Amino acid sequence: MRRRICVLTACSAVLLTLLVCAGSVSATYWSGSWLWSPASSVLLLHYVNNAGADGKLANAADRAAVDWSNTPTVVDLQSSPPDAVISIGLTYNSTVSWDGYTHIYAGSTEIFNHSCINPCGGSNNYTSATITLNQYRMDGYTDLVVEAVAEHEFGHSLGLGHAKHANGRTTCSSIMYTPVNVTRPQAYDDSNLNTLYPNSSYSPTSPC
Amino acid sequence: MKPTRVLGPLAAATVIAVGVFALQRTYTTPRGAYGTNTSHQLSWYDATYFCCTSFTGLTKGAKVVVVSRVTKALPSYVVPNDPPVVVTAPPPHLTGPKATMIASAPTPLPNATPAVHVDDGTVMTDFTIEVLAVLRGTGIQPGQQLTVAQTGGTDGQGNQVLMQGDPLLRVGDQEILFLQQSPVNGKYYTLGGPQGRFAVSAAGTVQPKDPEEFAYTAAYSGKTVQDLTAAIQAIN
Repeated sequence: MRRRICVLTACSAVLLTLLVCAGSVSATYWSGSWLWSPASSVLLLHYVNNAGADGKLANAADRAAVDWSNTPTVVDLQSSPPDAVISIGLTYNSTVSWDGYTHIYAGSTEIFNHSCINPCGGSNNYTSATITLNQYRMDGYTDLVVEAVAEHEFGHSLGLGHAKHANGRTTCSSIMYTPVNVTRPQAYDDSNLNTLYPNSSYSPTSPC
Repeated sequence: MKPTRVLGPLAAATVIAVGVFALQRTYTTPRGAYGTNTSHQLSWYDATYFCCTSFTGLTKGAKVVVVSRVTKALPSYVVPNDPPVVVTAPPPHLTGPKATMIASAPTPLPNATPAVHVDDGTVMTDFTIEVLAVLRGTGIQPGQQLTVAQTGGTDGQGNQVLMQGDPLLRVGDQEILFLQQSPVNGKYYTLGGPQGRFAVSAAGTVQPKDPEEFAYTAAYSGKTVQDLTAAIQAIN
């Protein structure tokens, strides 16, 4: 009898451990976030599209902004140069393999921690972000792929990290994978954004 | 039954769970480590690659795969961004409940005072490597010197910029490199950034540079150079 109770207790303990661990594993984020209150209904971020020298990339960036704005999250990205806090620029670099990168700033300080598991390291502190797209590489891509790369970078600019958990890569489909392998923000991405910017209208749902 | 029979395992499990939870909350990898730089700024690129999804894809995508020794680091330089050419898109036509929410939102949440940064360019560093062996590809011979460009380095103000997961090559190190060549200036670069880099140890084993991010490369951690060579040469 005692042994049975002990076994049951031990099993319960293991279950408790698993539950706590599973509950704490979410996704990766960059530390911090844009100014946000759960009582707000929309996170309106203005961007300036400086990529006009390449119509293909400029248009893809604008479409990527619309794609994020149409997700079931609070995010609303709008083109408005005078009010911009996100800038999109171009480079032409034939000696690299990357398609784009993002920097986020809190004042003059760059956000350097890109690997938080669960939101961490401050909040409401982002003041600007820059996205750089590599014209050399993306000139060879289809419009849809260029749009996906821009979506991925916008995802970073919102505070999302690459799609993985503490124990490795997630199996969820995500625009935040690298290499990029989907062409739209996925439910996993929406869920992670809703965790970062909670609002009762867009509760986190199934992550996959 | 003594209460300790029940409480003991429960307490132990709780301690373990809380410990794991705390570790996960504070989990950061060396990818995000800031280092001890105090006199200058250190910042990071976190790049997006469209390449590669498999070892086969990496191998087939490379122009040449070589065992190399880094012999020289050249001064860093900046590849400038294009001058800004601003385009403005109309407000997005939103669908679903958000359209209603935005229409009814009294005042959008105020952003921080607009003070957008515009990046000037990308810091790069060129390295000279000596080819020790050619594992795949043609046109390169052992003993040949190649220039390999890499993202990251030190800008004109002494600030360091590094690529996440892709540390700068170090003089004296041996690495197996999956290389592509720029048709613009003839310089080589690693395919997929860190994906195309496997450090070679003194014992002759290999270690991918960023197995955490690119899981398919992790399968080769600790393999011998001969194992990796066989895997490369088995791909048609």
